[in-house]
Amino acid sequence: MKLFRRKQRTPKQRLKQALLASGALVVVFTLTVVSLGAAWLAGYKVPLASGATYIKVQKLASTEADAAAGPTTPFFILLVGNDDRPGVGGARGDALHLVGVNPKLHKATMLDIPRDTCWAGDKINAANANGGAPAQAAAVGGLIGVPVSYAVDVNFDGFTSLVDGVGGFSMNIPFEMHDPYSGAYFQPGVQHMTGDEALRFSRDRHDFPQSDIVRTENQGLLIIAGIAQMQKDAQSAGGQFKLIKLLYQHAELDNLGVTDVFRLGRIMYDIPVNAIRNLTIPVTNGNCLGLSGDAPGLFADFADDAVLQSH
Amino acid sequence: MPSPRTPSKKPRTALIVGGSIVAIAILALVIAKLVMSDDDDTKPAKVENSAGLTLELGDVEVQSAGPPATISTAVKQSVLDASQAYVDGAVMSPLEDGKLDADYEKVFDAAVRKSATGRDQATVTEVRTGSVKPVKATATKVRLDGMGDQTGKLVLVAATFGVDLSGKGGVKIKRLTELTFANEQGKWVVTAYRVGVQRSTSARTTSAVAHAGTGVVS
Repeated sequence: MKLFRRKQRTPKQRLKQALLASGALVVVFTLTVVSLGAAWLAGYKVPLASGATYIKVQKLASTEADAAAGPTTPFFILLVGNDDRPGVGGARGDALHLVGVNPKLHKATMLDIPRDTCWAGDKINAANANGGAPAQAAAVGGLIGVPVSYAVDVNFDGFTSLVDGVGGFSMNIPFEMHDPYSGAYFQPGVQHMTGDEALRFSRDRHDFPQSDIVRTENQGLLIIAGIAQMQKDAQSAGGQFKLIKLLYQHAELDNLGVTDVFRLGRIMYDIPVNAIRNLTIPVTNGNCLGLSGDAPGLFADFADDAVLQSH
Repeated sequence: MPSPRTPSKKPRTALIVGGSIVAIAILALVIAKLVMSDDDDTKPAKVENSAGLTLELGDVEVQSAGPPATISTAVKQSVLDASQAYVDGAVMSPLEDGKLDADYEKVFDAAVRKSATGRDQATVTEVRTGSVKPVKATATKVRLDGMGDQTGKLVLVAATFGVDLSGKGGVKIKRLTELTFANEQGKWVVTAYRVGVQRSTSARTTSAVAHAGTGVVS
């Protein structure tokens, strides 16, 4: 004998119950989507919509600065692209670019550093995997002979998110690329790059006999194109504020407040793109690349005021 | 004999009530967002020019590095008053009276005051144009852009507006001004600026742009 007998429902009742359940699901789904959308519109961080990924910006050392005005003397920023990605791990500093900024002269110099450059008995990119951006900054700063004040460390996802966040940018591709490893298939000429395309462009090394050396130079071209785009977007304070918001959506910032970022942004805005020198440091061939040519002279020229006078 | 159980209507009622509350909350959020972008009728507390040039508040948009930030009525008033003081002292006073009103310097913080009163003075002010009275002047509404920090606290406000002027001798001047304010010990002062100006007479047209805000004076 059954103690509880399920009440037999009529087909009409079953239909009504099914409709009610479906309606409730639709309402819950709609409200969830609308709530997330409204929260995103209102400026809250919504991981999926905001594309929160890994970009880390760190202030490593104090610069000579007016407390209210930001850096006033030459300072150095290390840009690191690390190879950390799902299924690979690593986080070695595979793209290394040291930017020296002279606020007073409104000029900057970017030294592109091949990842296999030797430092302290190892390839220099290993420092990032061992100690993150601070260790990478110490290694690059030690190699070049400058104190690194800021480090920007970005992985593949962070890079593509940031490029897509500014709507991509235009750049002049210097030569044809056809590399199945990186997925870089480009014709020479000016074209608009999405985040994914920019990543493919910056990773291609198999197209070139000099491999990573040319790749490093290409990354420098890409960074300058990105700066040019940001300068366009930052032509009004409203545009600058949107960029700052975008940065905070995608980045973790250590020891840097919104006003600091605004000051640094204004300094970069004041430097015309054609006043940014971009060159790769001279290195030898081999597995672990030594310095060659007039590297010491170049570094000294760079270190004194972040502007190259004799190179 | 027990009476047959009737299905409870409570879950359905709760769903409807809960759903309605959430929907109303979202609607309120969206309306608040729209209201924040609307014009309002804030006027400068003091206007000191004979042409009656009075700045009015226009669109307001606020970004934030954290939770949503807003620009309070008091901050709008403070920024509008400072913008009006700048226009009166640096632009209208020279064109009407042939000299700067020294008070205009007070709207700048120490870092950019040096530029505004030194290297950029010829662009930031009309002191070199001198008196061209009587002056006719119109201005666009003042657009405000705000920036909140990681906690949603407002830390920067930019006021952007254009001014068209004409005076004796066929002088025509178009000015576009962007003043970015930061809070310094409770007072909103200009911490960065960008000013563009085009001056025309029957003989020639000149234009200039000045900007500061990095603390570096060349």
